[in-house]
Amino acid sequence: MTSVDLTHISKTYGGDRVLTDISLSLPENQVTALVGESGSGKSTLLQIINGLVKPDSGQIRLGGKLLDYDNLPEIRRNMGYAVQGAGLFPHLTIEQNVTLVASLNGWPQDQQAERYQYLISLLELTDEFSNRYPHSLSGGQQQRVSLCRAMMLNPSLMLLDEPFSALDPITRMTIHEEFSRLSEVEPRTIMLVTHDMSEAIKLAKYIVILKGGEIVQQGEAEDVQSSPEDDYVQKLLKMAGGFR
Amino acid sequence: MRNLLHTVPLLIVVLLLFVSTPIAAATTLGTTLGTTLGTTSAKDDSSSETTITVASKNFGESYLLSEIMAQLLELNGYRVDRRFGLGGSLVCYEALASGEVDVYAEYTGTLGQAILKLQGPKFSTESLNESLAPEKLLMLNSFGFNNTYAIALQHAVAKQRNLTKVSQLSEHSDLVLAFSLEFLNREDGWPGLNETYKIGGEPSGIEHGLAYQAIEQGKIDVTDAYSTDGDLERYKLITLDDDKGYFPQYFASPLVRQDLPKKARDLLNQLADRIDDEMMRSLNAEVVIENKSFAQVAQGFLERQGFGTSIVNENAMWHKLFDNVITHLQLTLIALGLGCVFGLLIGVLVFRSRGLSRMVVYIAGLMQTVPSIALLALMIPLFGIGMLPAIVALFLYSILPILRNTITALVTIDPLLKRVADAIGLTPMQQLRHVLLPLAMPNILSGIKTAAVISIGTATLAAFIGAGGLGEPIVTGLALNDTNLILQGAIPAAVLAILVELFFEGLERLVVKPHMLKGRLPE
Repeated sequence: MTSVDLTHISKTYGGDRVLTDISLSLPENQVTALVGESGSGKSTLLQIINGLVKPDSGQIRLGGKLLDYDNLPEIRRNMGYAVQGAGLFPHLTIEQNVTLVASLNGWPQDQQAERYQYLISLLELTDEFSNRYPHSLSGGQQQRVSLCRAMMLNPSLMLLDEPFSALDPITRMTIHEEFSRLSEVEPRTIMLVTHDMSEAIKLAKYIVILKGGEIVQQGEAEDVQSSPEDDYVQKLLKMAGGFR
Repeated sequence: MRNLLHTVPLLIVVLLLFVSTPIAAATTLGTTLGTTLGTTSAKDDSSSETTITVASKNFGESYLLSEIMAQLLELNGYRVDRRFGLGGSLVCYEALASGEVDVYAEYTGTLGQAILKLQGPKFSTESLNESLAPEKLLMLNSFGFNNTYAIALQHAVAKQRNLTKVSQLSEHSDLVLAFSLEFLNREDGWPGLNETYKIGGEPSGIEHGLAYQAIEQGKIDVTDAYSTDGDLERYKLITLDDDKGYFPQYFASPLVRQDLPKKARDLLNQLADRIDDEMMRSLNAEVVIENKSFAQVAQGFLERQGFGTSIVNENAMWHKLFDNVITHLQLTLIALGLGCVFGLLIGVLVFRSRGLSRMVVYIAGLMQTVPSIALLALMIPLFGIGMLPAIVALFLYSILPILRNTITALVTIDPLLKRVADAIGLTPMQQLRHVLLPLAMPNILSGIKTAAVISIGTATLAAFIGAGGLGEPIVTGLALNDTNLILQGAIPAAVLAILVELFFEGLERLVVKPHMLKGRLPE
């Protein structure tokens, strides 16, 4: 189930059109960034892929098969999920947060422990955190833990909803580097939602730009950079340049 | 192991719930078995093995008569289970008819008019027994006194005017009459009395307890009284002879189940005609004026009558206190356990629907608005008397705080965490068990704590329907205006409430991480 294909997706909330006729395919084992400002519908689009939001019309195919709404928990276990603010469960320790779904899936203890140790070392967390609770970690550390959680079951698809947005610039830069390394070590299909064009250019191979619920431009990052199709994309690129 | 760790809080609560349910089942079973065994073995006549349940109503004379019967039975080798202070005649009768009680003292007038609804005003034991036969109940021979309404006035005043009969009252229209409100308005009270004797005058209403003081201070001259009231001695009052036989008769007799062993029945019949009005008045006076316990007064009476000397255990108070505390805890824990199961279950089932949640909390809230004593009374026709109706009533009370806190706690969980729990692939059941309930736990626990404290308080009222517990000394104390006795129930109940509060604080510390209590969520 590595391919993700969306066709003619539309969604309205109480009369407001949030997404209009979106058709999109995520290239396998690559990072695709979904860029847009607040209210562009990018988060909604991401939540349509894992079934948190049901579109009014259009189809979602995963690995060629239509998304089966009756079997969401199982399908979602093959989709890593990380969000802005990390969303760690405050009553669970760091290790419990990361291994929760694996243990519910019946993974043997040693397999869980092995995978956990591997992931925290990838994200430069130490074992010292394992028995601590999320509230005692910094924002950046929490976000690393949430990435570990998303990758625990080694899913073929990861959906990341602005995971780095709330971090301070220096922490963000470090995590960006770790993230790039991750994508090389464990390549998988990733959709990264962000409002930051520079982040998209840095981390993604493909970029999809969303404005007012419609796709303005999509293509390889380099192509988007070299030939922006309209003023809006140009503006985004200009701002991104300012940050670099 | 890790998996186990984060289910610990939930496990403890679930354990708490289910541990208390088997206790509930066991206790109910025990009570049922006890009653059944008691009645069954009552038929063979080996008194040493037989337990007889003696009940009383919640006023002094009834306690005293029941204590006399109880001690007489004990003197002759029976074991006695005392269920004193039941909230009224109907409760006692109901308990007797259903077999939860074997004997209590009833008055002919009350039985005929209020319970059997026969045409009065005078009822012979024979006619009453005819009506009682289908219920398999039996009224034994009367103790000998008639506790009816009487017209009372100061001894000195009566002597000075040479007053002995009610019919003479009409000639003394200058006397100030004041009657209790009930007497003033009851058909068999003042209206009928005035019609029979043509007394005339405009009597005023007065609270019964104040009437005696008013007479003593000379503010009023004549009032209504019960003919065996111990206070008549205290205030040196005499009663006038009802020479036209207007007042209904209230002869007191043991009312028993027909399956009471013949030997026990014969024993109780030995009390027939041993107590006349004056004797009853002075026995009552020993309690209200000399502050003796019912047990002491009964002991003295039986000794003087040659029945032997009962052993009145001075340590009985502590023993009784212990029993009361245990009963009280049983009532509260069982009701609370059921309240937890239902409160949590309903809360978990409805919290996802806003409308349904509102409706359920509203209904549970309605239940809370029924005054506790009324709710207990409403349980009698459904469940009889004793622990069962009390538990049901307490259970209904305990649902609201648990339900409301469960729903509120589940609804107000950070939506981000709810979304994440869904998005990482937890099934609805797993979300509930591993995320939602643990996050809601501090609130749910405080709901259970509130319910527990309310239950302990309300359970004191359960004594009115024969459930026992710490309400028993309170009810008795109220009947006797005995503050000491009231405190014997009130203080342990207050202590229990505090202990429960502390217990839940400890439990909270055990199952909820400190940072969860401060409500800190990750940034």
